[in-house]
Amino acid sequence: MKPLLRIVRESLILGFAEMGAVYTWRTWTFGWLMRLLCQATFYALLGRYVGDEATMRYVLVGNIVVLACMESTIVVISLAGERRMGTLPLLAIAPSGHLPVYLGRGLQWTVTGMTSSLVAWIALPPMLGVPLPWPRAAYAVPVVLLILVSSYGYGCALAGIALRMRGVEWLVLNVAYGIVMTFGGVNVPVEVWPAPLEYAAQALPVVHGLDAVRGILDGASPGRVMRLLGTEAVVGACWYAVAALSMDRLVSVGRRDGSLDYAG
Amino acid sequence: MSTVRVMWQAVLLQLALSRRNPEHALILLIAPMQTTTMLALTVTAHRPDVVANAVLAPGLIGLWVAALDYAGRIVPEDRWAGRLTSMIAAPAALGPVVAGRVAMVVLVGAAAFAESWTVAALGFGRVVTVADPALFVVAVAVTCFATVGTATLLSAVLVVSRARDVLQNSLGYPFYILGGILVPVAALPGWLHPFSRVVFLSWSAELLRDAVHGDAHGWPGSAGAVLGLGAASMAAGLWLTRHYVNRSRREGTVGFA
Repeated sequence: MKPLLRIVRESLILGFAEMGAVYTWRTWTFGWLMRLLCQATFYALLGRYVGDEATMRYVLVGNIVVLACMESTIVVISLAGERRMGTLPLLAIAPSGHLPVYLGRGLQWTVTGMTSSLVAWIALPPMLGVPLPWPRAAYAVPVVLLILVSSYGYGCALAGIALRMRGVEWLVLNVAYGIVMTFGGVNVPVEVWPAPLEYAAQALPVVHGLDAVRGILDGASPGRVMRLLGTEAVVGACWYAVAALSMDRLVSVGRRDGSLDYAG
Repeated sequence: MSTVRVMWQAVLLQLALSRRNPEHALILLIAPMQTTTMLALTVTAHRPDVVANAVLAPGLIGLWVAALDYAGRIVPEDRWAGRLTSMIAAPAALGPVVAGRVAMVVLVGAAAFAESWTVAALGFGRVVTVADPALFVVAVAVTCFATVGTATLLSAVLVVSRARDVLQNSLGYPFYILGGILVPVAALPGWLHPFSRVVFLSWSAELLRDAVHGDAHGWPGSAGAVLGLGAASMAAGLWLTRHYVNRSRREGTVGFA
């Protein structure tokens, strides 16, 4: 356990040092965070324009929660960066094994993702005139954390594509996040989609967790909320399993044919 | 070499570079998903009158992303790839080269209009017809021109700025709101209106929607505003690029990141 915590600590230090090369706390707050708040507002305004306050709140809640998913999937870029710089083999020979180190490469995005979602959760609903029912809304915060964790696994799994193909990391990130945003019940209920799509959407992170968040806000029974949380956790675990298998294979094949240094 | 010929060669250069870079197709992958999101919300809310907004908005986002993301990378990528030194040493000015390459990128961004229309027609069975095709062509043309102008300015600003990544990551959604690309400016709080009016997207979005609905009162004024804002951005962008090149030459920093 202690070595694992050390990897988490070192990954966070490295990740925030990387972020520090791009952002100061001011540029992060007034640049990036503001952009995320505007993103949620943009869709919420559409909700208000085409519907009523209930529609606006539905869309706003979805778009605030999905910020956690969006930021945590940026792990795709961090992992692909290791490939681009040729440092992937160095991480693979870590004494702890490659898996915890690879999975830890984007941990900083989980911290910023949680922060962004929290700030938006507190600030945007009253600002846009659709306040959340506090203190019930506070119970949704640990659910957002669960969504963040399962989305991070989703990002790690899809990073497997970006690690195998050169120059597609931004495509992978945007498509991965875009699919959740479009079909994950963020703006419209999943039931709106044709049956095959609705069925496939059940495998996405966010879907069940967001349902649980909406359930908490609407006063759903604890049993239903717990069932949804359990499903979200299972979906997240499956994505971590895919990520682990993908990375294991990447490293074993890379060791065998020497392709781990650079994208083939 | 005439300026137009320089720009044409720059278009060809950008075409060759983009063909080798799959990321330049990003907007073409995003646009269908954005259209689906916006249309789903519009259709489930039973607002057929807003379908045109949801179809046009991804096109405008495509143009803005092209301007901000790709155009902003042109000079830094040239420098990273070692092309900038020889480009600055060439007899042709850098400004028209950047503008030509930006024009190519914007053309790709404009394809998002066709994509979103196709998604609406095939995915949702909503065929958006254009009531005033001539005005629509004019609106798309002036919007593309203004995007090229804005992108030339953004490219120069991003090169001069030390916070390139921050600006590129931040200047999307605030401008989508201000530009009224989905929710009209009139539906935004009053204090935002003056800010919206200096963003060419706000005039373009209205012009495009008016062309679709065939409700184009005073379109010459709107088209003039788009052209004026685009021309002002282009002039500022070319000036800033020249200023940056001269400073880099003077200080011997052309080859440095």
